Amino acid sequence: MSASRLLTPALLRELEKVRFAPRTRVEGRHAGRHMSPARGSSTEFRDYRAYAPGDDPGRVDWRVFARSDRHVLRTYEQESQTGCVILLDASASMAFGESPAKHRFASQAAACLAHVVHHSQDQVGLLLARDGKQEWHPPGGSARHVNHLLHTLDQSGAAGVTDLPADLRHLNTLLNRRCTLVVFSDFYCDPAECFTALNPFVHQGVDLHLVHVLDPRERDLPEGELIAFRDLETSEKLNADPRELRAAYRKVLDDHHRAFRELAMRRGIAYRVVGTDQPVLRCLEGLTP
Amino acid sequence: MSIGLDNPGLLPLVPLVAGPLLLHLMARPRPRLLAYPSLMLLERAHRNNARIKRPHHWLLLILRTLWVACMVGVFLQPRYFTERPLAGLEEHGRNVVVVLDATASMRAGEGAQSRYARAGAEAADILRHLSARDRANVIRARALPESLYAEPGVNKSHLIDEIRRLPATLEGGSLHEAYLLAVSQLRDLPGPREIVILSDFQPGGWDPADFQVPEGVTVRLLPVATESVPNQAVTGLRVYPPAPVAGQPFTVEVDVRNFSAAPVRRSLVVRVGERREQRSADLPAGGSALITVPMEIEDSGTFPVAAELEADAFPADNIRRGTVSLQASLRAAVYGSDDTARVWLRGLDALPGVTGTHLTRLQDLADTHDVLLISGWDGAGLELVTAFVERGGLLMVRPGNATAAANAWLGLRASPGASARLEPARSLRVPEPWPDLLSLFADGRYGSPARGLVSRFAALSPEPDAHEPLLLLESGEPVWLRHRERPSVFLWAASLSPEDSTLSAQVEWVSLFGEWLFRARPSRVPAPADSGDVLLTPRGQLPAARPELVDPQGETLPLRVDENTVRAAGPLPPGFYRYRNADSGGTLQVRAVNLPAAESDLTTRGPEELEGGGLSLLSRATDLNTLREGRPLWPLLAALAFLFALFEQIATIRSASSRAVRT
Repeated sequence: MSASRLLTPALLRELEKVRFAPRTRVEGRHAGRHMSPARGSSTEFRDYRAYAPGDDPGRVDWRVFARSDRHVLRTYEQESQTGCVILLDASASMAFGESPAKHRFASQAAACLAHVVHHSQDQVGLLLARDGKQEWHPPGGSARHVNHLLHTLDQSGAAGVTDLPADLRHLNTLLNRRCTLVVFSDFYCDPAECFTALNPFVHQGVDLHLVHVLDPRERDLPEGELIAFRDLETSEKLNADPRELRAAYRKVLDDHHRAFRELAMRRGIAYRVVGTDQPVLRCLEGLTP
Repeated sequence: MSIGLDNPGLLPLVPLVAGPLLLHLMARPRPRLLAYPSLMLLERAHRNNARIKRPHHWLLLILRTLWVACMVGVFLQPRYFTERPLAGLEEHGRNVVVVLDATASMRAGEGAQSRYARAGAEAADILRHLSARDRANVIRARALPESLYAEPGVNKSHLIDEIRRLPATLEGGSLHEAYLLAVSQLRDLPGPREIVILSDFQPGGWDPADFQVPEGVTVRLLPVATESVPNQAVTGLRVYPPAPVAGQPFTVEVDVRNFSAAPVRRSLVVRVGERREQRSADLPAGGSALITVPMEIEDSGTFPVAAELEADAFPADNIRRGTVSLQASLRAAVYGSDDTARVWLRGLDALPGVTGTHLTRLQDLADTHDVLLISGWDGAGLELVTAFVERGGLLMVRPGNATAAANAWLGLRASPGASARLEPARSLRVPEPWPDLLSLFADGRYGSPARGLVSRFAALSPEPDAHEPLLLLESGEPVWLRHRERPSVFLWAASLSPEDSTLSAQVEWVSLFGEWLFRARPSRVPAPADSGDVLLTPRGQLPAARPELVDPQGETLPLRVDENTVRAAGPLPPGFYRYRNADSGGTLQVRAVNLPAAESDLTTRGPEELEGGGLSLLSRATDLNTLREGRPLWPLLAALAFLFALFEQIATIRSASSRAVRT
């Protein structure tokens, strides 16, 4: 795998110490490092269960049969190869910010995650949501696949209007097994609508991670007397004095974050706000041990 | 109500009011464009913020606009008129008549100046503030209203000079007459018409109901009396009996009144001729006292009488003057031949200083007779009797079968019938209230005037209310009556014959007869005149070919003499005046002129007592000038502009500080 521009040597050195560790059991077609909800034939005992017709007779615990005259099967934890899907919001609003822009920061975080997942011998997929369209890269585990993803992330730019709930609904149709879903976005959408779109993933047991990327100037409005704020997505304008608006804006922003946090907590979804002025690896907290 | 502008030329500046709005819009800094991820949260914050900020911005805009509006107003110099537009805007100028009270009460001093001086200054102020087109006149309210112009004129300076030159008079007067004259002068004049009455509005001399305000005329009152002047005055002076006889005691009765709110003691000096008596008068607050000073003068003649209080704040009314005429003796004539006439004659003989004469015919009645008693009068010689009464004679009549003319003159509906015998004899009584003439007997120390019995009586038939009853039979029939219109005419109904009555046998009889003779007789000296009245004397009282009038300083005053009267050419101030024979220099008559008693009350009146009937009240001439010239609004506008600027600064600073705190 060739490192893209997103993964700097320093970053790669740090990533060497990191491995992908999702919170929930994974479901994969190939045996791997991760705990699977399917009981398999690994060496780690899990439980007994009664023999049912069709079960492999070889898995019957004969010692138990000898003691209790019952056919009981020993079940073991099956280690499975898991998948990780990254949803990267590449709407125009993500283009905000300088050194780096939110989109660049999120792409770098996604690249790091893809690198870590790949090195954990897991599969990684990508849904790039931009300008109302979704660019879907199904999970894959090959180096070529990951290189392609890194290249895609590096080359992607933020543009257009994105409807994150719609993107989530679309992604739901694409995923057919449990995996880890990591959403990188600035979440400029209605929290309730967003979590409505996330609910199917929760029901499917998808390990959800929402990474709310925020530029410092979004937290504290820029300095200045009067600013014509132009919406990067809709180009609408709003003239406002940041000095007069700052307090009210902070409250609104806090309320917005609090709404996401509370809704995520209720559903067991990991939600974290990461500023672009913070180390990019903070985005992977909860995904790595 | 209207608004006028002193500087209408600055009206084009009014659009400046829109300046703050333009500045407000233009002065806003051009915003720096900043691409922002999403306006979603910004708009939400902006909406929340706008609920607080937008009113603040509007407040600033309003304050700035109001500030500019006020500043423009300051330069336009608007004036506020509560009643009428500017005189200059009228087609005709105003017509203003100032009624200036110049009566004696206006001489009262309040502080450093008199009420009249203040009224004059206020009147001058009113006149000065009239425009050149306005017409004005001043009417001085005195005994006879004195109009400085025949009709309102444009020369206000002359009026102001005249007000300064002419002093307050020592006369009484009527504001009402002056007001009527003012109304008549304004009646047909075009343009706004206005009457301003400057007076002290003395109690008793002012009733708003008297002042009917004609349509189109504004009447304003400007009271110049700000405080009540504590004043004591001699308000009455009488001699009792009115026509005393030399050598007999008489009484000088003096009414003294206290117009202050505190009781005071004042010394009073009474002079009759060369005689001088002093008394102390204790005067209750707001009350009066009657001071009686007994006198007795041996000489006959006419003497000046004066009662004078010690000096106070208003000395003009401290003295009151009169005259008393003392005759050497009283000459009485009795006409009639019956027993009653004889009893009268005996009574006259019993009285000292009285000479009684029996007349066989009325034609013998002389001018020198003072009293005439007629018993059984049939009406003959009515003219003589009438003339006698008119020249001041005292008449007692026991009517007989008189003519209708005589009965009418006596106030009887018909002649009394024949005397009837009363069985049993009737007693008499004094009617209630007790007649003044019989006041000597009121306390009973001198017996009862009704003592005795009457057994022969001719009932009188008096006209209703034509007489005052003095004695009545017990049954109520009148025995002794006094004519109300001619107080020196008395009617007697009972026979005084010893066979018919026991009245003349009573000890009280001579006293009663004497009381009647001396107290009922009218004074022959003319009553004192009020200052301001035209001194009018019948020609017959001044028996000289060339009478002349001499004032207290000995100056001869002009007279208007015609066939029947002699009158002074103008009103006279208080004092003793003397008519003398220009040829011989002898005194013909002494006349007293007094300040009208109504001028002595110097207490003030509340506004509620003055206003009413369309009359409006002013406190100063400047109030009127303000009404007329409008109230300048620029000081108010300047103050408002200052306030608005202050509020704007406060609002701006608060906005900045709250922003800083949040930042």
